[in-house]
Amino acid sequence: MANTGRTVSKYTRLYGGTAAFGLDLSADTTAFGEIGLDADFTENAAYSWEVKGGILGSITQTLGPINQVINSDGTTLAHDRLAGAQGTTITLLLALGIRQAPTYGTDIVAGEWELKSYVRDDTDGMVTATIQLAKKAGVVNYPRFFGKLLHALGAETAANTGTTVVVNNGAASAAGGYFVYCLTAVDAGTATLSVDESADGTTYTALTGATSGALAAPAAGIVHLATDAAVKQYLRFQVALAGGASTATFVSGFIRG
Amino acid sequence: MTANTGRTVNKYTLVYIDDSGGTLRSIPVNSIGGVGLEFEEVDQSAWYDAIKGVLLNTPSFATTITGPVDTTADTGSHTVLSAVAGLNTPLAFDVRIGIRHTWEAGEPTFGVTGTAANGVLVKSYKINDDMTYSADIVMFAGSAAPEWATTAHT
Repeated sequence: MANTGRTVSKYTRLYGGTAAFGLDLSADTTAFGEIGLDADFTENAAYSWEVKGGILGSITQTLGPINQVINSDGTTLAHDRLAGAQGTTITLLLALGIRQAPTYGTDIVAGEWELKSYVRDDTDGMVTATIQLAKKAGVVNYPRFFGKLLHALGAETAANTGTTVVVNNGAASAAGGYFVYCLTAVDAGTATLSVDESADGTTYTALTGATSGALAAPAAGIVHLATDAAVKQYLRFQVALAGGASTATFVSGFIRG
Repeated sequence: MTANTGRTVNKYTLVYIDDSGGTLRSIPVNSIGGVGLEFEEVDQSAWYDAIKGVLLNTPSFATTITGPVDTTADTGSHTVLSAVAGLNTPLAFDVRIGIRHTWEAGEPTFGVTGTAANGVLVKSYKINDDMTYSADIVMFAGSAAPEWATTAHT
């Protein structure tokens, strides 16, 4: 179960990828810059108002700039994947570990960004790169992107039948949300990552729509639910191995609307 | 205990803001940008005035609070602010300046009591790499003005 309270950055973890790769970026990320949201706001005052004020408009989500140590094997490591993903959409999940590595229930921030630049830094010491991101337009249904980790990075060898590694929201919601996942390894066949929901914390069924589909290789992505979708109080991770797969390593989370 | 008078230091200042359920919460803060109203100056000088002068128009209030990211249930800075940031529901806001002890009635406060029409909004909420946060506080349109007082705003 996740700790609560304050923390330091060494417990932060960053995961990400595209439909073509999924990586734990934590071993190469030295700083994520800043993550947050900022609403448009114009201050005004009618004659009789006691104080100037306004109404919040459209929200901008920001992440970065991300600083990384360049790590390359020519094909599969962070530098190779991120440099290759320049100019495309990338899914990122930032887990805010509280005085321990992230676990189920850890607060996360996640979304899709356009990887607008990956630039080698001109610095002494270890060779580093800076990643600049811009929020992807047109597909984001949710202005706020704070959620909970359902599955910390680790391997699973069978479907989840447990009732203890769950995230309790305190109440059901009816504002949809989105499922975020990052599969970093599957040994054979396919792994399907998804979310189960429950009203009582004991009996679970699949949360409709919250599934990655069958993944035959590492990948990351986001699946949006309808903005009025009902989501029950308790959520847990789920994984289905098929086609000869015996183990899948992944991280997953859910952001409620 | 009775209210103290005189001077004080920051450690006795508490910042309160409504959570998403409308419950006033004291959240971890280690700086606050400015507390008070600032009135707009309008230069209404005429050429033949001996000196230039102004009249004061409608005031404004906005501030930035910072502090440690804290996920404590109910009262953590992240717990409260992540849930209200970007929303247009007015929130109660109160800065209570304790005079050399925990604040009590009779000692300074600055804030606004929250209602459906009155309160502040959290315009932005950002988490930094060092696990600190910053949040911009602005006024809801048409709200009553926050005020200096010696009683709590709720």
